[in-house]
Amino acid sequence: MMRYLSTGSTRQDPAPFLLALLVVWGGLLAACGETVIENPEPSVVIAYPFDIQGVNELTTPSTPIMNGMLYFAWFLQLVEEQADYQDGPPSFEPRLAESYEFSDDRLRLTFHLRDEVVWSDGVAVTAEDVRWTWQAQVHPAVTWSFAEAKSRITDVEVVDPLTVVFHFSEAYAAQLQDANLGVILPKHAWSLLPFEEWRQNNTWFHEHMVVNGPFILESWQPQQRFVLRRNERYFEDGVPTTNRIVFQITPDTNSRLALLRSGQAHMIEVIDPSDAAMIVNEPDLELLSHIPRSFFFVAWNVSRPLFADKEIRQALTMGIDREEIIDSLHFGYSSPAHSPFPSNLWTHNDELKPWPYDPGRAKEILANHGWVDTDGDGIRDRGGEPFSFELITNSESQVRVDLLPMIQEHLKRIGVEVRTRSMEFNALLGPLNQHDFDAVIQALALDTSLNTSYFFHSDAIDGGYNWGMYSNPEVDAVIDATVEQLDQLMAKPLYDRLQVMLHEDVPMTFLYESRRLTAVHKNLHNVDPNALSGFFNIRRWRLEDEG
Amino acid sequence: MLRFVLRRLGSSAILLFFVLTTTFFLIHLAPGEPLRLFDNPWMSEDKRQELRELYGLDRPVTEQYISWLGAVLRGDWGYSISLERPAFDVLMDRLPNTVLLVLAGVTIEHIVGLVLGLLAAVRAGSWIDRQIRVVSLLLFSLPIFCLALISIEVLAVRWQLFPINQMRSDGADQLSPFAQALDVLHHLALPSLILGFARCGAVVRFVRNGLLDVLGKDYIRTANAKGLSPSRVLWVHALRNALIPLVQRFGVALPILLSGSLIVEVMFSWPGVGMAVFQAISQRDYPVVLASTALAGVLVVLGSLMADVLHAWLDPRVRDAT
Repeated sequence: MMRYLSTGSTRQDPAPFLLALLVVWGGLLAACGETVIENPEPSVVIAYPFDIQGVNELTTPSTPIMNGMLYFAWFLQLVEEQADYQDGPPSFEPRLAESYEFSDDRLRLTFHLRDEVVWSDGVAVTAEDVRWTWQAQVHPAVTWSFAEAKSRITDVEVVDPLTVVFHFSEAYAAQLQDANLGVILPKHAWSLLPFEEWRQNNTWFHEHMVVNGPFILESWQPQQRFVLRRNERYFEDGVPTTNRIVFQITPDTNSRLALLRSGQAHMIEVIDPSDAAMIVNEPDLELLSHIPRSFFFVAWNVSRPLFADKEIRQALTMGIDREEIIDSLHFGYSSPAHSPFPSNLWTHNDELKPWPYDPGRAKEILANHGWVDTDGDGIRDRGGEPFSFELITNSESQVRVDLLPMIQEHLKRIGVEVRTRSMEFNALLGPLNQHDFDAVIQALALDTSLNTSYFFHSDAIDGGYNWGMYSNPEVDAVIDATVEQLDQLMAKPLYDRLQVMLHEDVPMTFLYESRRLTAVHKNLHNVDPNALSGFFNIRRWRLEDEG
Repeated sequence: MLRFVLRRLGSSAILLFFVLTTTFFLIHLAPGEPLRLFDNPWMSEDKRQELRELYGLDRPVTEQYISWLGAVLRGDWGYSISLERPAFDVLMDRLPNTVLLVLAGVTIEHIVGLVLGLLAAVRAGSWIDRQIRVVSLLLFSLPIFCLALISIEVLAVRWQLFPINQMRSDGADQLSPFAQALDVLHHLALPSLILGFARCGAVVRFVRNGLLDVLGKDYIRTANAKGLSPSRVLWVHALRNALIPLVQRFGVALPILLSGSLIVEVMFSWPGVGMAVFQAISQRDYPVVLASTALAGVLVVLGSLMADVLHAWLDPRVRDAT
């Protein structure tokens, strides 16, 4: 073979030709196709992992990007909750409504609409839109997944084009929030499609979209980008302060960071704590942070004999080294928690302190309950049964997956065996809703009303988020009292009491309160992400290049 | 030949039916359900039941299967629950993008693999052969996402030779059709290079080994003895025979490339079938998963059929036998 090759003359050796071909072809590929868009319009570019799924709130799943666009870019609510939620019960600023008032018996809530608000096609926004939106929200064929929030609204009455009255079956604390939930939709444009056909025609709404918010949807290329453009008919003077915002759909974390670092994007709404140092070290970038209204926990299934005793749950809590978790997984961007209410919320009980990391005390409690290592295998046992359980979580969250071996190691130090398993969130919901698990690492978020009944009330065992089947009649009563208290500030002692009881009962081990990090280019101003949304004040963002 | 093709298509249709049936039951038996997408604290069990009824998920699985099969035979692949669009439309919108990416990747894979394999074979034992073998082994071993990460950092972030992601530039719709095509080509370059280079290591080795094997055959010695030029011997007599195993590999490579393109599609935000399927599986969007399984099955069948036809075209012995 080699003999064959050596007989060929160098003139006919194909090697240089092949090499040259490869180089020329590679160069052509790299160079060709680079097109220049002349005078590109200055635009804010956001690298975002998920696409929108439609434009109609009532037929699309609720996701952070959908809520951000629906509530802060495209449509108006009657009133808008403000970012002062930390300091007291939610306050609301007028939006579509310029004022509102309750009747003396609080069974009627009247909104007075602004007369200067028009849809993007020039048609006036009226009380008819408000009433029709409510009819759509509660229509059985539409099956809006939040329709339950409207269950105590018996009617929405149009008094005149700018006055609308919500009638309630009873008075309760969250009446304003329930009436206000959902954006007001364009009756004149969308009532052309009967409610019965909404679920099968999601794209129709995009094709017939009119808005009353600060931005219109200029274009949408699914899984590529969607573009917002200033709504010239928006009612507020001088707002929005940027003309065009491009959302580049970029599912991969590294690609999002690459876009930001190369100056091709101005913002990433949420970054991992592990990437924070990289952002801090870039001179053109800025790291913003806020505490979301979420709580991260290990929920114990109290219906299982192993976790039935609260002292055992306290011992397990003291066996978990939360400081180590925070240092290792959150790079300092979180702090230990002892309550479902983050420390910046007015309902937070400052008197309480988190359970300490005290493996000595944890061992003592376990031993007092008869859990001792009789066979010397390192695992405590009682009546021949080892103290062993399975800890599960969802695999989409790397932090939660990383928590599994850490907690396993921590509890091994006090003689408790933990078996770990992660699965997709969709698969995880099966065992959680059927209460067929030992312990789970999860996170939940509080809504505007700060209603904790979805998580800790015994009524939430079936159909709610009380996966661990925790039931304490005293806790139920306190939660009911917080919900029924019309003046929420008066409910503060009840919230304090609730946290003391949860702290003692430990239905969940609250792990940490995590800061949500946002990376922004320094030439994008007024970005102020908060627990309501990363896009809360999108209408006031300003790009330096735009002047 | 026609009978051969028809026979293959018939057996493939039966295989496809079994694959789809198995997939249907597997995904319906897997934990989780699509309506969890709509879950929220306000949602009552009654509302969940209403949604289940709306999407026909309240019926027994066998009943759902019979009704799904009937609809499929009428050409209706169902309605995507997460995207609220016909499942078939979801995939057809994205299929051209995936085909473009995969074809570009396959082309690069085979051009680079062929050129480097040829170089290594004609210079067997030299330093260039050794370098090519090391590089091809490296490319073969390197996970595709590592290659993508390195390429993005160097070629897109530092040197800014290529766009980092997407398929078209913002504002490209204002360009002329020709400029738009160039714009797509520019976006296509990096992901297709990664897809191609990540898999070309195997082609290099196929070509090199195949060629070295063929070059030692009697008919090559005869051709040399007849005084044919070395390049004619190489290009006309040796290469054609050495390529036969490569063509057979091509049919099998198509579905593997589709799965490889999934990673590249996610990393480069390429709006292809892979991304849609990835999301559909995690959201238990049954219609999209089933339609994509059928699509992948059809592609595998077509790929292997194409490989057989090409094989027959290249090898007269196979052609005569069919």
